[in-house]
Amino acid sequence: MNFWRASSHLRLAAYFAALLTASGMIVFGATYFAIAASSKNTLRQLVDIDLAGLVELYAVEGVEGLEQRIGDRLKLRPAQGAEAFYLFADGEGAILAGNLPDWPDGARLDSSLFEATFPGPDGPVRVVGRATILRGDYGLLVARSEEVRRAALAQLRAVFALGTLLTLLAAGAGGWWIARRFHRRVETINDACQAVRDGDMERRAPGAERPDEIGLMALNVNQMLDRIETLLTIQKQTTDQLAHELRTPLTRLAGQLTALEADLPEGETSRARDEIRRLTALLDSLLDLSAMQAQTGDARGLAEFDLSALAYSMGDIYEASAEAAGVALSVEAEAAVMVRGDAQQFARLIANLLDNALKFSPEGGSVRLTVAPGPRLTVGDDGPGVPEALREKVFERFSRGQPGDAPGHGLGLALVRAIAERHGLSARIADSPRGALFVISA
Amino acid sequence: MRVLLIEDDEGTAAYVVRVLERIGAEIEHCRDLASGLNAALTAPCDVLILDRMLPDGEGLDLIARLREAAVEAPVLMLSALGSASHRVDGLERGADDYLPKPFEPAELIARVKALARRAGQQAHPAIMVSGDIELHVKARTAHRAGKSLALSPKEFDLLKYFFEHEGVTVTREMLLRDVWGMNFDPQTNVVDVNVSRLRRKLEEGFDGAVLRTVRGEGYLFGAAA
Repeated sequence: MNFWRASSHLRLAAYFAALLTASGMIVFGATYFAIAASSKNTLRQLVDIDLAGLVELYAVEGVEGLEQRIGDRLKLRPAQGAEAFYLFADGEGAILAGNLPDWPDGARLDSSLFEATFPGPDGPVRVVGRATILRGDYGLLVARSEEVRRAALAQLRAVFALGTLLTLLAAGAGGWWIARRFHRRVETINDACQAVRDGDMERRAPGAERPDEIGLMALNVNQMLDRIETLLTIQKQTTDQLAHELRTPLTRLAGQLTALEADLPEGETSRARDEIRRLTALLDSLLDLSAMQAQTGDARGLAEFDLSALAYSMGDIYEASAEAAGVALSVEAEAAVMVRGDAQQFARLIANLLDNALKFSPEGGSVRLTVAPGPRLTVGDDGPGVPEALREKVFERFSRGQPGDAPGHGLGLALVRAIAERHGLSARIADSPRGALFVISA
Repeated sequence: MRVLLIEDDEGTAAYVVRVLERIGAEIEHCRDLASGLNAALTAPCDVLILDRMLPDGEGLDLIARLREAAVEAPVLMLSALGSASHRVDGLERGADDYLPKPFEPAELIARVKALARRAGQQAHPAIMVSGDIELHVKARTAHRAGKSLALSPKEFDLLKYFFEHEGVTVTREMLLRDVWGMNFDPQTNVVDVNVSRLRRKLEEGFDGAVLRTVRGEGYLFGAAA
């Protein structure tokens, strides 16, 4: 599996997890701040109610009554909830009642709410409180501990942090699972396309019956593949029928020539026979060319073979021809250049290139066949070369080097290119200090 | 030689009959698979010539049925489906040879004779002799009149092929396919020049021709050449 495609579905899962976690954190945060604010408000109301009660008491029962009541309240310390602090002092600052050693800093007597840290029986205590001046220049302070509320909020924070972590994990795992399922279904469609491309024409994408968009994609891909298969079948049937319909009358024609030969001097029908041969060779080459072009990308029937060995063996066959033409043929191949392909077609490619090179090489010249890894196969000659403007044209069907040239039907180099392309290679003419240099390479 | 021909096109069948009568073959002609199978089971033949596209089916399908019925006669496919892939397909499915239409009379005669000969041949001998030429198959050496011939490996294979077809005309297509393993026809005379080279080595400095070019047909090897 391709790394980038694999990581793209993991990336999708990460985005999903991040999004879900972020939205969870927003909900958690809003809840937390609302609870923090409302619990603080409750504490303030408690302080206000307490203070208002004591102020009223002072109005009715005076200094002694207030002292008495504060003392009572301090005896009744709550087991749970917010611990209370009281301080009742006269104008000189002398403490009349309460559980604070002296008037604390920050507790102004202007009836506004304050927050401060008081010394408690078990260490410092953060409080919310209010202090006021009573008639007769007495000061009264009421405060409540924030410690219980703070502990509850801390607990809440811990719970929320844990919740966020769990959400992150669950969203990550869920996202990964969903993305993987999606990825797998897409992958099955890709696999099917690849199999068809490699020649398994009957392969189709699974899941086309599912009513979602991937199912629809599979259905579309399958319908397209059906159509390609039909077209290829028609192409094959047409060429087969064409071959049959042309070869059968040519065979009858050859038969009639044979019947005539009995009454004619020997050799009289040889030109007619040559024409039949030429027509057959042309038909073969045309049909082979179209079959080869239809096979482009089709991996069926391909096997590893030793291109170097093939080059030497082709050189061996052509050596006698080169010698007869007075041309030196050399083969230079690096050891065992392995190629995945159709060896017969490669033999034909080399044969056509050598035929071409020998045709154009002058007597006393040389033809050089080389093979290097890549694969890279070249055939160079000492002929007149090919002008820049014609270098693409020579690979077209029925193109000929020069009018009145040596025999051939103008399909040799078209076949070379079709064979190269069927193997994912290119065929071109490269610059060369002398003659023409044909290069087959990736 | 008895030949069974299964071919639905009358013109082609007449052509085959006319050509094979030249070599004195006795020909039975059937026009479809059913009668062809029947004829093959009734009377033994030396070579079976089979078309592919027949009115009642594909000729290649008959081969497996013939072999099941223990009919071992070599089969020559004669078909309008002549591309390289069709030929490979035919040989893979049990045909002994595959001749695309249209064909030359000499090509048909050579193939039929080669098949009939191969069917009657025994195991390959270690030393083959023709006139004053000897071929040591294992050692891959050849001698003429006691003198060693300096042959390249391919020339040796070519000579061995001629020995195996002594007295029978072999065509360029047969040599390309069987000696060089090429299932296509290069447009130039590679076969001719290679054979001429072998001929020079066989005949220069010796008495008597052993390898003759049969004009328009192929080559004939043997003392009679």
